[in-house]
Amino acid sequence: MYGTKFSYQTELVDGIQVTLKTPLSKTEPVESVLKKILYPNGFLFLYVQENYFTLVRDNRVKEGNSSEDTRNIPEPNYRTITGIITDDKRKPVAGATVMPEGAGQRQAVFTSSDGRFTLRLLQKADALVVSYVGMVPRKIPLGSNNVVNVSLDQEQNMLEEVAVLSNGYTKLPKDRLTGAASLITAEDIKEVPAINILEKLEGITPGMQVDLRKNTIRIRGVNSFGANTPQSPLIVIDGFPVMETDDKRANLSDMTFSSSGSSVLNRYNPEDIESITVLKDGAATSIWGAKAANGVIVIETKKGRNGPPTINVGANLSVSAPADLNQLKTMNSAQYIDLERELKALGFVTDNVTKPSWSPFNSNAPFGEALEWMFRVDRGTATAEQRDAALARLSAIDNKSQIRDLLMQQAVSQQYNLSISGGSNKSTYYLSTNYTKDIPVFKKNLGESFFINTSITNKLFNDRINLSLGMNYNYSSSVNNQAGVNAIGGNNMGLRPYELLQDENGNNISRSIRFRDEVAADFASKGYLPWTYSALDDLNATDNVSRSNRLRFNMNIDTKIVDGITFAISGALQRNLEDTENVSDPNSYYVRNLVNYGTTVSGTTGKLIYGVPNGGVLGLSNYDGWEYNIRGQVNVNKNIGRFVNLTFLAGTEMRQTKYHSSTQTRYGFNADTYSNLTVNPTVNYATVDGYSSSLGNSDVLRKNINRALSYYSNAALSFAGSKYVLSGSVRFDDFTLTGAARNQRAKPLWSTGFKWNTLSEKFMQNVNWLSGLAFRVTYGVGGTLPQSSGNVVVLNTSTDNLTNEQTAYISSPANNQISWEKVKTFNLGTDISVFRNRLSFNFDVYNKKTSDILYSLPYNPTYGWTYLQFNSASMKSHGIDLGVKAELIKQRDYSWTTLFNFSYNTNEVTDDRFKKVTTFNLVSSSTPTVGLPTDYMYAYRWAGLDAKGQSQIYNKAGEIVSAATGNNLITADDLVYQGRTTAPYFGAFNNDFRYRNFNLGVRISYSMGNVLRRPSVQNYPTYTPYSGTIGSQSDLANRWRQPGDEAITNVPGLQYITDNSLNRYINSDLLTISGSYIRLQQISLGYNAPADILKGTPFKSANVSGSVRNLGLIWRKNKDGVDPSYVFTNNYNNLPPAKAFFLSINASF
Amino acid sequence: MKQIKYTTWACVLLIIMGTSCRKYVEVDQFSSRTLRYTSDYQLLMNNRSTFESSYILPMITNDDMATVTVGHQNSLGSEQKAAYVWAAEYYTGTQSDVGWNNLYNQIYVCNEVLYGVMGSESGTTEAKLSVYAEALVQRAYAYLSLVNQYGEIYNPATAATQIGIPMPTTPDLYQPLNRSNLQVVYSQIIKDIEEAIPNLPNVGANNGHVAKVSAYALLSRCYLYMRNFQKAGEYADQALLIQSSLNNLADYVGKTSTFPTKLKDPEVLLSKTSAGQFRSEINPELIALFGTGDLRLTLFTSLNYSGIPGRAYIRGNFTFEGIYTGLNVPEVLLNRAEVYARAGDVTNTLSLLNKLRKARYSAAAYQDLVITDPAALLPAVINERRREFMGTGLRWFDQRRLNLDPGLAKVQTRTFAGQDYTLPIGSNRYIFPVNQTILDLNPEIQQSPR
Repeated sequence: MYGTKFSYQTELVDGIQVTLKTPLSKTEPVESVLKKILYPNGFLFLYVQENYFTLVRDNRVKEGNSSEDTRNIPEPNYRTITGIITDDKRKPVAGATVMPEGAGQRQAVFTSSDGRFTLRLLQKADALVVSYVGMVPRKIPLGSNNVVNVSLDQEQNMLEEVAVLSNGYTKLPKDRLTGAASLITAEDIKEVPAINILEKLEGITPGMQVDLRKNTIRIRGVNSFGANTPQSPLIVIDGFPVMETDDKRANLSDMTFSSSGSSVLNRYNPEDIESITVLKDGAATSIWGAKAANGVIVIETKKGRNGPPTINVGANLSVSAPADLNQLKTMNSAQYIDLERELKALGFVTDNVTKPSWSPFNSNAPFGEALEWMFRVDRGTATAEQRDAALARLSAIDNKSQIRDLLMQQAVSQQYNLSISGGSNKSTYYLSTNYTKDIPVFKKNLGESFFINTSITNKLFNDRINLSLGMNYNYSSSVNNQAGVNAIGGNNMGLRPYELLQDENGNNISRSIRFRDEVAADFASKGYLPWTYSALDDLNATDNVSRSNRLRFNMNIDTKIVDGITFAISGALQRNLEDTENVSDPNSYYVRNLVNYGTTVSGTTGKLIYGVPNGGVLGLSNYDGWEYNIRGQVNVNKNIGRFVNLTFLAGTEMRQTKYHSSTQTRYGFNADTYSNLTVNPTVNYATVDGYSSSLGNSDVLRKNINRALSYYSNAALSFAGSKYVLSGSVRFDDFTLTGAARNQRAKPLWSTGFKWNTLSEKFMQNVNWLSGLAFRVTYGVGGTLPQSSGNVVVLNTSTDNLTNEQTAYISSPANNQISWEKVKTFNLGTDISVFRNRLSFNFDVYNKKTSDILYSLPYNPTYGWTYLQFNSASMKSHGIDLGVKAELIKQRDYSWTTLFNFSYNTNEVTDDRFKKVTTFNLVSSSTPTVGLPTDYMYAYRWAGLDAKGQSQIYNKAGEIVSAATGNNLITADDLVYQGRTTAPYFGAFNNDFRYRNFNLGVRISYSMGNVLRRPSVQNYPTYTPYSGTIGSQSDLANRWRQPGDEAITNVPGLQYITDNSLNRYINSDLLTISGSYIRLQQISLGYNAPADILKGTPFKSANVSGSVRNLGLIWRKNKDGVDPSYVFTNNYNNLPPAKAFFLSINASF
Repeated sequence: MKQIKYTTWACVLLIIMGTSCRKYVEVDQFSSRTLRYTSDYQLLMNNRSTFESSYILPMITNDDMATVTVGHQNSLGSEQKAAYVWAAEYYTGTQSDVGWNNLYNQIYVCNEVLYGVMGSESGTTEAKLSVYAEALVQRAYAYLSLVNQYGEIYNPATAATQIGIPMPTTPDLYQPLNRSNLQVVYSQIIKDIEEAIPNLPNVGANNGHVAKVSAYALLSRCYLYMRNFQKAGEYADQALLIQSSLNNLADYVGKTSTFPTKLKDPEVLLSKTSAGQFRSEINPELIALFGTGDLRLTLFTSLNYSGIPGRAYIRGNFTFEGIYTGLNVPEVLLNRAEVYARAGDVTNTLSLLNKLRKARYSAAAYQDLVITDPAALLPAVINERRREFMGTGLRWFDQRRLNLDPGLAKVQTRTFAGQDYTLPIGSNRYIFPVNQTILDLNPEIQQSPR
């Protein structure tokens, strides 16, 4: 019968061959077939549940062996034994077999759902045998006691759990899978009690690099450097890809401060995930064809199980301290004032009151308070003593505590889950709901989401047809306010270290940031709006809300056509609705500045003329997208002869994605009446400084449609059990690609693989310490469809804002040499497990070659095109994935499990048209270069400062080159190669300790071998008069000030500064630091309530766990105290995330 | 039998799902589409950012500007320095020749339109012919502009052997790019414009569109450069019949920001703008040509403007729409005047010149020009052209063709960075060099004679 399952001890059937008198009748019951096979060989089969049998050795005394036996028929021994069977966690085991030793199967009984059994002994028995799938059978001697309680141990090494992986189209047992793929189970996911699913996936499997900061996942590095080529893996949920892989629209708040990120994966409730399969090599991914070149992540959601209803409830709470602002490497107030003093002394800033420059309004830009005091003395409005007193007062101020108290808060995330599941023979159900609330570090920011998930399966028409339905709904909203981020940022809303947010009376301090105080006051006296800014006031004046609704339905109908052949039709419908509302209150600085700047005073009437309506600004955007998939598929699972098994599937599917979106800005908005004024955004208005400006039309309308049609097939032949497995797959994709002919759009992608399970070989029979040894070799081609070129003209349309005519330009010409990008992957892998699976290794070596990368190359402009895209560039990459799992200690009461992942990946551009840049520009170049990885970095060779405090570098001959030397005299050869900016080596080291019901988890991640530039000085003035903000990095305090300082510092001085000097310092090897680190990611402690405690309560299980995340670095290579994961150009992003404390409670009943 | 039936059904279903829909994926997208409908082609011709851009090099090589300050000379870009002294090569290294690139891009788009519009869908024959005609004239404009920069000076006697320019007339991206001779280039230009005229409206929907008036004006310019003066005059008349209004500069004294924008300017016949600016001091020789009260000098130039030493041309800064280099009424008028002058027609020449001058002078200072000697007519017209074309680069094209007029042809000299440079009459340096990177990609183009 199709679907019959067996479990048996690994060594049990080794070396035993049976001869079946085939053909078997299709109508013959399984039991009778089993009897024929097993009984003559001394085996028994035990019925577990429908279509599920356990095979055991027949330990009974052979009947009818001799006449003596017949004489020893035991006397009837009527006796009733009762008891309860539990597992090692003291949970009752339902369905366990309890059998008197030596008796036949007919005398066995099964435990009920509460683990209890009642056995009526008909014959005398010395012992009871208790067995259950996945547990060690136990023999209990029978004394006179009529109550026997038995606890069974979980046993993975004896009864091999057959891991089943899904590639989205079919499920395959791991031993038949030739490709490189990893399975992540719900248990694995649960071990990281984070709210963001990407945090859960970090380091969980080799080859997968999770970047929490950028919300990205890369599988085995990058495969292309083409401009529009996607780099993210394809994400498949319940058989169908999610609507978009890269979320470009809804990046709502910075990841550093919001714990639930905006990655696509976070649109699914992590509690609903049953398993995640990561497909890595060509053989594993090519079934997904043209979108699979970057790997595939296949997610299966939970389904109901046959049994009484189970209710699961859970609550998670995560709290993290406000970010530690002392980690920002900034100058203190005294150092900052000292810099301002030097800027003034050297003439970088001049008093714009007494010395106006050419533009009357530029000269009115305000100074910081310290500079203002210094200028007051020059103007004669203050004495030197007054100035010194004021500066001393300012030097003592540190505004960090105000920023922390008034703009930041404790980040708190809450998550609540509820699920109900169960089912009967004919149908199962799973319902779940989840609510998450996420309060990030900066005030007035908030994220909320809500999930509902339903999954129902049904068997119809005498079990001929399986029907399953799924529905998934997700609502999320976020509120975003930038006032806090701006306050510690580098623009003019950023605070100088001595600028406070509130005065001693608790009043908010407003500052002029565009014009000097008296100029702003003058405007105000004419009736202009106040032209000052306060971060605290702005917290309440802007309100940016984004909301999204996502719905996903899927359905699958499969039916058995004949034995071993099923046919399935399935489909999915996804719909995403998103809207964003950005309200800028009339009191917000943005609106006041916009209105004021567009307001002039009438020369005749003296009245104000408003160019911009006096009122709020409302930005609206909408997105409405939907996608359907329909698939028809035939599955074949047949034994051909005695040794060959064929699994085969073939199918076709179609997909359509359609969306429309709009963005618009409304002016004169009144939130109370929810109305706005009509404005012609193209009309010019006069501005305060005498120019003319217009609001500009920022409205966007978009609509798009894409379709795909695919045929695919996948086959695996396994010989002699699964000793040899040969697999192959082919897929043919046809996409909407405007204008391209079919032969350009649709090309077959294929793969093949072979696996050798050596343990099944005769010569391995005596190697007892080895419990698994398999070798895999695969080769496959994956693709990426060109998105921006074709062999016909493609037009992009827009509107001419002067003529109001519709216009178009040719975005790509008819280029008949356009095709796919192709990634060819060769993978060699081995899976080894030893000492009864206590130690297992998965090791893969791969080599990838990408050809036909679509890249824009120079073309003869005489044809009308200066650049033209060609599929011609190429690159290669290779790497290693190693996963080690060790159960170092394994005892009934305590255990220690270790997981170690190591990944290596590097790449190289192989197209020799990408010549190395020969000028100094190489230092900041990111253009692909032959022989170098895609993410290379070069630097100047630092030679210290000269006597004027300016940069010196070495050229290739080792001679010192001064900053006065022009860049044209520096060539690429004078630069030094630093390395790659992405880590080639990365992985994780996770340990789980268990003592009785307690679990302790320690997760460590590491990343090695990359380099990065340490930001040292920014916004450093290089010209006079300097206007704009000055950086506040602490390195600025170490700048060269006078001759002799060059001996103690490397930071160029202000006095003789030039652009070249500054740039050579910033891009020198002095500031190159290693990105290598080892990070203590998490420590968690969990407790599972034992069964005896729960006895008498309604709970089936209960556990509580707590963890601490973001514990910081254990080791880093750089000596500068920099956390390499959090180095960016903006000040606030330098902050590593604060420690987060996590508490989780789960119960089921 | 039952099993076979099921299997057959399943296979049939799969096949239906799969094969019925080869066309399934071929849907039109909304913002990115192929050239299919007549309106698609119309949209291409509506695009001003494609067709408005013209050149920059003639604005440097002509005698409108004369940079003398060493500091200013040093501030020029390397290609500007090279063009200023008529060097053998202008653009070097990775620099691109923006004039060449823009004009050939226009030619590509026109070729694409000409290739496909007549076979497009959902358009009347009339609509198709109108788009077709517009593309013909725009392409002719680009060719005429290119051939007068990178081709030899047209000589009616030897045109068939003179070096012209590459002249792709189809959108093929792989065709050879050998230069056509001047005879071929000019006859193609004339043939195209003449073919287009019947299908064009008298005036366009706006100055960005080609119309009969601009086609006539272009023919007039073309024939003038070919020294076919009679035809140049005839077509100038045709254009002036449709549009001959002039802006009275006196109306804008003190309020230059109210100057009509290029699309609404009644003087403009076809809007074209320079591809960048050559910011330099105006040649004193040109300044000396302006009479008292000539508002072109007082309005369009300014002393010490934004770091430029001496007197700078600032017309482009009134509306910030670039420097107008396209066809306009004054040019047509002056074409006509030149033809009259060459014919010795005193009355008509002066009538046209004075019509223009009246619109250029302040009312108080204006006096009619009086000339009695027919031989003095042509120099007067040429000087008027110099004044009127100041800063637009159009002067370069006059300088080229005047090489063939004994008496008007003259040796040009320049001093730059302490060195003297000479451009002899009829020199090959009147022909612009082709960017080496272009020659590297298609050597068959061959460098211009140096």
